[in-house]
Amino acid sequence: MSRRPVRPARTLPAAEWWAPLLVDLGAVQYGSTDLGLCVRDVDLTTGRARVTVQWSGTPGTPGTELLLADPEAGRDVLLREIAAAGPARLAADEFPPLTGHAWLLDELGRRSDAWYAYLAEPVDLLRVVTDGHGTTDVAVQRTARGDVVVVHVPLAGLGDDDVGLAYTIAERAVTVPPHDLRPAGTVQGRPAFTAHLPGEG
Amino acid sequence: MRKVNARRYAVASAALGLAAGLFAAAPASAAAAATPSAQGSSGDVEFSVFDNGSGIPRNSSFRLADLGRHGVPESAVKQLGAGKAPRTAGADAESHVMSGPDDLVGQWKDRDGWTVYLRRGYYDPARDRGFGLTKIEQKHNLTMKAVRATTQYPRPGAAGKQQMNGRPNTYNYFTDVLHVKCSGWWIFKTCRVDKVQAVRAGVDFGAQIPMLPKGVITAYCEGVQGRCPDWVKNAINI
Repeated sequence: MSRRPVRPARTLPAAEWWAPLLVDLGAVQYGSTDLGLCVRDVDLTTGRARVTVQWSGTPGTPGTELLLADPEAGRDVLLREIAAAGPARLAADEFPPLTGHAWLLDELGRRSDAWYAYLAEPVDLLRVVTDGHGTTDVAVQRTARGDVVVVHVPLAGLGDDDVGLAYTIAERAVTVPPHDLRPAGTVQGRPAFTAHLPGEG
Repeated sequence: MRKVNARRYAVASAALGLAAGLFAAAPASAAAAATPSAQGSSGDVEFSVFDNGSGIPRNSSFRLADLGRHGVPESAVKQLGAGKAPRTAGADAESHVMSGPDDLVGQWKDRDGWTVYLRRGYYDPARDRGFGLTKIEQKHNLTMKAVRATTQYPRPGAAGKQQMNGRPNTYNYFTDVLHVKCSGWWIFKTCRVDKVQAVRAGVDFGAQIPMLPKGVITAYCEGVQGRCPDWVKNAINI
């Protein structure tokens, strides 16, 4: 009767497979921002998590790409994999001072029901990519329409009052008027468009 | 044989007793309606109930009078029998002094005894942002009572309350709201569930706002973009 995740996490039947990973990446991003770490790209398009991390002070470098075999391995394993490429640590406690991108990763991971139960139209989270300072792009596949909407999320000031933003992003992808979409090439061979959040841009 | 007859007698007596009790307790209007010619008591009625796990049949018909066994107040059964809509609570009774989005406007124990907090929150329709009671009411057309019922009467077992992230602090609760149609005479109307709507509530339990959790983030009807149908919040048993 109830809607179910498209692909449930092994340990959390009500969460999408990538949800634990995003929350753990949020914790690493929280803890490592002052070490220069940026979780630049979380690519879920192939059904396996491909994460690209970079450190500031090495501009122009492509970053280190990690193919995470088990998105539910836990934050200690995740930290070891990232720390093998550069300095990283976990957040000192459960709720450290917020940084926008870390907060967004955590928010997306906590509310994966936004992607399978919230809307009438099926959507899928494909990718989370940040520019490292001002914006994170969340790529949402509109399954029935065969296209992708990349929602720009400004990071400035993101935090506790924006809780529930995952629902806003998912809904924006399906309700954005066609005249507010800008062509953006293809993602996974599907036509892609960009959109701002409601009231932004 | 004697035993079987005795049991039949006991069942028949119980049924007559229930009917007699309802007759005796019925308000004047309902008692007056208890005649074959009365208008109202023979009409069709529709209402909704939160599935509280008491076994309301979903795939077979049942008597209106049976609802008393499912936690529906006797007064509501009688009103429905008389063809009237029972009074529902409508707006939540609690009064709140509103000053900021993180104000606590309600707290209660969930099915497992965990404390669920509900904050005033906010809803900005132009930006489609918000959380808490304001978003629940304004965007999703639900109420505090509906959220409370969702957390207190989720589906049985683990399926009704599920962890959403690797840290044990974000949970989704699920329950079903049943829309019922009845036809026939008075409390002997025959009823059938004709629609089921799943309701989901997301709750953060991690301590964030000085020592207390953020609480209920939102609640919504599954697969319904925006407003839940009115019959969900108007359920007669919440």
